[in-house]
Amino acid sequence: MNNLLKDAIKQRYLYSMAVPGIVFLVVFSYIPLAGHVLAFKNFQISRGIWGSSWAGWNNFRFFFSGRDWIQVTVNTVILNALFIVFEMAFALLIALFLNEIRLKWFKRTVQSVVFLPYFISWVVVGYMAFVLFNNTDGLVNHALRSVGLRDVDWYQTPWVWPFILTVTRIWKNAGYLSIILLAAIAGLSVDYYESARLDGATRFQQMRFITLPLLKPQLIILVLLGVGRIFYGDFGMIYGIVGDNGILFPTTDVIDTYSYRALRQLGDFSMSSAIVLYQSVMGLAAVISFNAIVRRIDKDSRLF
Amino acid sequence: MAALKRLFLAGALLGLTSALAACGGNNGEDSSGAGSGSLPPVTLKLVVPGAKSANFDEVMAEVNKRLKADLNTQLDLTFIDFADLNQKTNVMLASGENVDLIFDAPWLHLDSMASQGFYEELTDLLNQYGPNVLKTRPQQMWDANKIDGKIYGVPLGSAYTQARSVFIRKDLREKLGLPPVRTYDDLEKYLYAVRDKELGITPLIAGGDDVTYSWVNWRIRDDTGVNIRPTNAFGASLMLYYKGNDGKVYNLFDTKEPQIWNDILDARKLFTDKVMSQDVLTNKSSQSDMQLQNKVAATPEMAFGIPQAFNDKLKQVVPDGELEAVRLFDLTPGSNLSNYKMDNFICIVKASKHKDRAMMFLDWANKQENYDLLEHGIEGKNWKAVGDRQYDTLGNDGGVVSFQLMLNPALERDWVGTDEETRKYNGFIAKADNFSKDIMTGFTFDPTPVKNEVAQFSTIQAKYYNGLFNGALDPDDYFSKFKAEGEAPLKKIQTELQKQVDAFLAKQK
Repeated sequence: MNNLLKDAIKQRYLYSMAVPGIVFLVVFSYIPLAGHVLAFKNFQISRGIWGSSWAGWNNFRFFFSGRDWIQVTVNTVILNALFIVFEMAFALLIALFLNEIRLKWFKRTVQSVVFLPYFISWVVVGYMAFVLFNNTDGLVNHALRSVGLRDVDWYQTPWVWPFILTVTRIWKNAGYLSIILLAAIAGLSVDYYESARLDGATRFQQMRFITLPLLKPQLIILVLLGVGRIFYGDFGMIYGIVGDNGILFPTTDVIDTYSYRALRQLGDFSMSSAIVLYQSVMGLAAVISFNAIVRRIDKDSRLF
Repeated sequence: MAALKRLFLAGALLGLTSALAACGGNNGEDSSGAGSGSLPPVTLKLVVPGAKSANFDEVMAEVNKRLKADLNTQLDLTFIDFADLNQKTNVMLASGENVDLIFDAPWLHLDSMASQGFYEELTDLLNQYGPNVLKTRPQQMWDANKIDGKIYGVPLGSAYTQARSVFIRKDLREKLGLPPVRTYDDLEKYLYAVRDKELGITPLIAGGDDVTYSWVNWRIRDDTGVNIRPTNAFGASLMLYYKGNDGKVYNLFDTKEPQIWNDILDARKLFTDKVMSQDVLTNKSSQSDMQLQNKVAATPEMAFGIPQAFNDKLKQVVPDGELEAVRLFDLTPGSNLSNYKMDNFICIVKASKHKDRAMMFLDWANKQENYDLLEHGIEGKNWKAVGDRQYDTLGNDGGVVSFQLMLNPALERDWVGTDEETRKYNGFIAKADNFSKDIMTGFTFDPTPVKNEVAQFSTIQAKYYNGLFNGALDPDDYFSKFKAEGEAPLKKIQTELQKQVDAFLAKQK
């Protein structure tokens, strides 16, 4: 501690550069933590946070007393796990391939094309999905018919949606992640590649034995960040694509959409805070356990 | 004390500037007694559902010009799309966003927001600043639209039940050689004929995301034989309903009410026969849009007659297309119940810093000349008066708001082109005496004691209700699933609701 303080005084200009970031974290991440107290209150805006009465665990009851909470929690985790794994895998592939392209203009074009879907809002993606999969004049059913297959009632078939959602997520986000990885690749020292080439390594071997191992820390951080939010469903996505179609809920309903539907009529702040607290605690547990696993496998790659 | 002093100074300064501004063309007309010179300038933020009309900017400029002169006030009007209304208004209120006036409704979250203390109680403000707001609504309306005996919103409406009908395509009906549709059976004949003959157009779409517009709800409303109506414990859901005037809360899981159950089976048949759109639950455009784009041939709509704009729009897609309204509403006096409840309200937000001014503004909006401007646009340019009670459009551009802000029976004008038949229906529902009084008049449910159950049941209902009530789910299979999951919480809500109803009725005696 003493050393840190001494160091901070000595390197005050360097340290001062961290101030904006720290302020940001305190204001937007640490102070709001106090808001979790709402989960244990009968919050009424007219009485304020401290004026409202205490509720004990009552606000958690609506969520945990039914049997849906297990299902939506499982859905949230499975969907997010699918998203994390496949997004990362595809992002890695894209980044590796982009890195091998030598034609500058072609590389740039491909990069922009895969990046573009990231900027499309989920609402619009929801419309696009509807155009593809609807039962009246959906494009996918058109295609199926034209090759002699039978129509599928997509919006009445719950089990296909985790796949459709995963593909949508890959299409939308993998390009974005690949840019992050590509930047990391660009930062790798050329020396490794030079010596590898001298030893007669092929392009593929360079990819396999140099690029991939050196990218590991970035990959782990990206996955860790994803795992930290694994209990938070992507509300914009699920609500934009599935909407209020109850038939698909068994496979697509996540904690966020579930609690939104439960509480939109009531507008009860405390009950939604209870859900957020549940998600935060579970997310914290997920990060700690993932970090513990990483620590056991490879001590240097752990986050803390 | 210091704050008071600052306030006074600011007031004096602003009074000076607005006195200068007033020289620029105040017509001097000011019935509220408070000259604009004595009022500090205020910008009121108003949030209502809907979208900007074509000549929004022009009309708003005139509105703000008059407001500046009359009340030294500017209006900042924000529209929210109906699809986002619930979510956005919820967040706005909960986060304490700077809003002065906001639209709310029993079908949105009026009761729960009011009971949570988001809205100002209006009695004093009305008495002090709102003579025109009070005058333009009959006493029955004020009495029936209180929550817990208090006024949390100005009721907006000019009738004692919702106008409603099913819009169908006159041109298609004639092409199919069918006589005018008078009964539900005729309507089904039309729908099946459309399915059989008109390739490429879906016969019917109901509201897959809005319970009120679900096909079963729509039919039950016009069934005066049973007088079944939702309790509004959770929106327009019929899972808990009242029947007749016996003061009882019924639970659809227990009763499997024959009328409702038959309608559910009927809806299922329409769906499996491909009369009901196969996308009824997932459809992304509104029903009206679908109909005006020539994609569906029948939709439930909240009107007794076809708005001119609808036919104009349809004609852009199908030149000889024309809509007509199928009204299944019962015109026998006394056969329909009314609780004189209005569907829409405008509320003053508790957190607002300009509550007085907000009420002054509402009073302003409930004067005929301003009412007309807001609803129809600029006189002589967008519309012209025909007699005292009617108007005609000049170009189809209209005003900026109506049912969301000031609609009332005293100032509302009929469109001169409304056909005789429609006018008959509209006239009928505008007269309180044509209705029998609902025994629940004035009652509102306080969900707080069972809010966990309400939250829980809402999620269960979301899985099944719209599917069952629009035919997309097989009732034999899914109703029992729905029952297995939802029975316990619904029973608790029913018991609590019945308790509150009993207490309410006991007090009435």
